[in-house]
Amino acid sequence: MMELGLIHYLIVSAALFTIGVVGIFVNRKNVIVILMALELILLSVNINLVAFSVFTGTIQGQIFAMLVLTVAAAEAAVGLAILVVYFRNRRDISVENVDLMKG
Amino acid sequence: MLPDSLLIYIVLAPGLAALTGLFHKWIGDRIVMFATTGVVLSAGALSLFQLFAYVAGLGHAGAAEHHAGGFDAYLTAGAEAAASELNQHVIKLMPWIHVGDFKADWAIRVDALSIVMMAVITGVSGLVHLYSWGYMSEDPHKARFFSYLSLFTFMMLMLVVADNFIQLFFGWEGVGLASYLLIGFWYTKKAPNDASIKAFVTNRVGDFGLALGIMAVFFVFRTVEFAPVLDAIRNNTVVTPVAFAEALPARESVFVFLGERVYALEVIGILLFIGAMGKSAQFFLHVWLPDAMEGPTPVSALIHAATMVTAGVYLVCLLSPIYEHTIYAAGMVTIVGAVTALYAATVGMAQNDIKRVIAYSTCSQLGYMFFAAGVGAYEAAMFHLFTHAFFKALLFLGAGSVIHGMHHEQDMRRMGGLAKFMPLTYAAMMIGTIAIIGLGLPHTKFGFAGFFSKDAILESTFAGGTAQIMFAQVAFWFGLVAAFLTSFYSWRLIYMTFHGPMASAAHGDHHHDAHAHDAQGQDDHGHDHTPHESPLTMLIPLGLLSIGAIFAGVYFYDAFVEKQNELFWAGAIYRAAENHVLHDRHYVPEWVLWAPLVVTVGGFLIATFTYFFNRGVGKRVADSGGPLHALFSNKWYFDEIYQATLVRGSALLGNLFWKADKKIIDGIGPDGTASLAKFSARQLSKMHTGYLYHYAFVIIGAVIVFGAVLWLRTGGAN
Repeated sequence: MMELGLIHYLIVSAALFTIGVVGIFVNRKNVIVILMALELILLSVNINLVAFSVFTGTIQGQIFAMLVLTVAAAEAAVGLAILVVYFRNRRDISVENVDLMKG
Repeated sequence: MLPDSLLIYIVLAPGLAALTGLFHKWIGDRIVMFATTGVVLSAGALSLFQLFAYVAGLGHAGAAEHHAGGFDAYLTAGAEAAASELNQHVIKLMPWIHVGDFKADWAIRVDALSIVMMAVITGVSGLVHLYSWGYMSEDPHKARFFSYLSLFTFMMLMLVVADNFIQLFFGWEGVGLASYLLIGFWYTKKAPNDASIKAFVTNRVGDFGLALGIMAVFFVFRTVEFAPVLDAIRNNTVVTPVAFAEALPARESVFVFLGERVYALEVIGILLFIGAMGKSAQFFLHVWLPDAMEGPTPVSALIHAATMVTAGVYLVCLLSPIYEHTIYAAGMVTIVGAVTALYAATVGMAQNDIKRVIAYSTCSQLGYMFFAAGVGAYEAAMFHLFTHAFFKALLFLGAGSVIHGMHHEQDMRRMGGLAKFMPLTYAAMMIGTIAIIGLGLPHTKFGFAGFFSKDAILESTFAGGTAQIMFAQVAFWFGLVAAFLTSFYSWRLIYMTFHGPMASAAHGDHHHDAHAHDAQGQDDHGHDHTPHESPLTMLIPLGLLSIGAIFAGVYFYDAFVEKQNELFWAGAIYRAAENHVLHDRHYVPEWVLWAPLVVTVGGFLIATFTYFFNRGVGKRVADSGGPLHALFSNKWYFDEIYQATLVRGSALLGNLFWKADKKIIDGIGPDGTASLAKFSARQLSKMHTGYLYHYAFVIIGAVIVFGAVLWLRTGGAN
């Protein structure tokens, strides 16, 4: 039976982070997926924080993780609200068509 | 002597009166006209009183056998005596520019020259203001006209009372501006606009010389005030030019120019004379003066006959020490004056516009003044300036009266027989004509104003020729021929205008479009088209000027050029020890005294024969189109030559520089930078795709890059 060390947690976290980043870029379909990918990135950061907290025996990491969760929840709420309004106006939330900021 | 406060009033009040024109919308034309006319007339009365008082004071001081007694006696009545031997009384109004040695103050310089000039300027200007009440009565822009006139008067006074070159330059440019504004007074017509621009541009050429001359004066003398400069030349004191180690006596100081050593005084004299040539319409720079006749006639009388155009003569006389100690500069003054006198007289013979004839006559008379000054008879030049102001203003105002009476007809070929319609104008013009041709009996005091001054000039010039002064002999003969021509064209003007059948009566219309020189709204005036005598406001100035044209010569002869002239000028005009042309003129041969009278009568007889008894002769000569007539009536083709060379040349050059500026300098400079910025901005904005994930990529990429950099800088893996 293999002992679970810090490194394993970090590998999972890095994998989640990479999936999140790639999710942002590769996704051409809709904005909700981008929000989900952002969520993944934040979670990977949380795993990092909690893992370091446990393995160094300090509490700060876990407290910080709670804060990140709160921010992530708020961000998701605001992001989805924007999307709802956006959809009402444009009847479409596919990423290709969200380019009004073009110069 | 007038107290300082009155002198300040004479000089500054016309300027303040001119400002009332700015408020004519609120105070109305009338008040502006009253203010300007009243102020200038009162200034004229004061200045004339000052001149008469000054001349009257000479008799008492003469007994004292003191060199400058006249002026000293004159001064003691007023303020403190002048420090310089120039015998000036200078009122410093306020400091203007003080930079190191360079000092220029606003000042009023009172000496014999400025007393004479003040009397001429304000006297004629006052009468012209009054005359304009009648002449401009139908013009819609009276307030503007009167305030321009007063502005001109103010600037001209600033010019003649300056005690330094800088204030003189200020006045010089100021009268140029006023002249420009008044020539182009009827700005809705093309001809006056063109003429005003021509006058302005031609004067800039002269002013370039004047400005360079003033710089040269400062370069040599390290000051721009008249007194130290002229004193240095009189006493030949040692001066050290700026940027030169070597100090030389003033008369021998030199410039090094292109490796040649040239006498500084010659250079200064020539440069300043170029300025005088521009302002006084001398040969090569005369082209603007005839065209300036597009302005209203009172303007022609004031600016382009009596005052502004004489500023050049005044300048040469004021700087007499410079021209006394130069050979070539003085020679240039003489020859240019002589050529102008003859040239303008030939052209004057063949002109048909009444004002142009008088304009060329002015040009010619100015030539007389210059060659008199060139040979060293500055007093005679100033005397002619003084008398000329009266009879030339009289001729112009008389011509204006004719034009007014003929409902703005200026072509003499359409006039004739006016003597019975306007007898007073006729009388005034006769007096002016007799004065300008200089009718008078030698050896006696019987003569009109022009007789005394013109004969003084011709005799002095002959004496100068005997004394081997450069070009004096030429100038005498040119002057004599010009006197003949003057007599001819002056009588031609009288005969064509006032005698013979009435030519314009045959015409139903009176050719408004081509020759009307008045503002819009003139064509619908109600009165019939028979010529009429002018109103009283125009006749009074004619009468007063007639008195001047008759008596100014005989009354002031002694003071200006005869027994009392040393006392009168009191050092304001300087003559070198070896210069006695003015004295030598008493020893010229008898025939020289009679020659002007003979040629004058000759001109009169020929004019009478061709234009009085056989009226068709002049027209036949003109119609036959002989080469000589063509040359004269086309003003020796000066306008055409200048058009083909200078005007087109500068247009081509300007075009070239304009294109070069547009394509090369702008193309690389401002326009190039702007289009580069625009181009790069357009390229950069393509990065701005609008896709969220592109932005996110850039953000994350940047975070990684900066993170890596930070990480490496803090020691990397170690």
